[in-house]
Amino acid sequence: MNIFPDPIDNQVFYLTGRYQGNASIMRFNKINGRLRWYAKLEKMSIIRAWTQVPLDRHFYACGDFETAYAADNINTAEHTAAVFRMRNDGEMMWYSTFSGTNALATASKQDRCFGVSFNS
Amino acid sequence: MNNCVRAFLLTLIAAVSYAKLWDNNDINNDEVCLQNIWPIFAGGSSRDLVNCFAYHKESNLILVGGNTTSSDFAPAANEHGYLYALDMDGNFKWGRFFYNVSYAVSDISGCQLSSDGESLAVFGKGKSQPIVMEMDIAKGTSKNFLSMEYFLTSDTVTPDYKTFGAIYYDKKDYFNGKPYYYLSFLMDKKLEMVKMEAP
Repeated sequence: MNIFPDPIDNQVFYLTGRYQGNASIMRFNKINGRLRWYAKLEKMSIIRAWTQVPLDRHFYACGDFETAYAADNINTAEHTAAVFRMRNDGEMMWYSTFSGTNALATASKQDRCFGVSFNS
Repeated sequence: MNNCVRAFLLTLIAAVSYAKLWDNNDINNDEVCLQNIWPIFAGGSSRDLVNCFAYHKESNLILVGGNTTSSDFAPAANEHGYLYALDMDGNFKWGRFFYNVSYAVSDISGCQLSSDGESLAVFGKGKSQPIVMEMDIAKGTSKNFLSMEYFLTSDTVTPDYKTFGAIYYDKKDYFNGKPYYYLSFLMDKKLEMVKMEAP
């Protein structure tokens, strides 16, 4: 769960993380906490990290998708890492997943994303 | 001994005597270290987690925080939140465990640079309640410490909190110019969001 500001709109902030089992992004008014929009990502389970582009309407975020939703063991549940670019009106620009085999683990698909950065 | 050799030796002994290293203030960082010693390890023989990671451009410091149950790292084996700073050569600049009177801050759940980039806003748990700190990045000292308590808390009403990294410190609100913290956490499995004026 993270809170981050909008680089071109100082009247709002975003709350990202996991809500009701899916990765989510909420955009709120700073002054009264009113929700402006809410994006629920069906193909992601959690957003762990984000990064912004200075003076731009877009941001990048990453996390992962727990494909076996009901798995209760985080060490054996299958995860696929995912990253996306979104505009500040909630429009998804692109979404991409990446995963591979894990030679050291008994479970496959143990790919998660914990950090993302933007270098101009 | 130059800083490169010193940093290398410190890295070697970090796993066995980190508690001593933590208080080591005699490191001379005036010399330029040309050999980066990465990765840097911190922690002990039990569970150590990193929940907070930030880079402060002005001081060129990397800030790391989290939670440990290692008695050979923290002062005791119960849950302790920790925070430390590294320079770009991997030298430890400062490190801290925190206490709210006699209660240890049990977790540093997240952090983020303040809106002006001059201090670090830290979110965690102490005495089973959400706590907020503003850290002086250069010195590693807390400028303020806030502990939150639900107004109906009593012997029979004790909310269960789960804190994560959702903190943002806006030093100058666009509307009235005041400083505010924005926080989000779980209280009894419900998502809560708080806007709080900073002292």
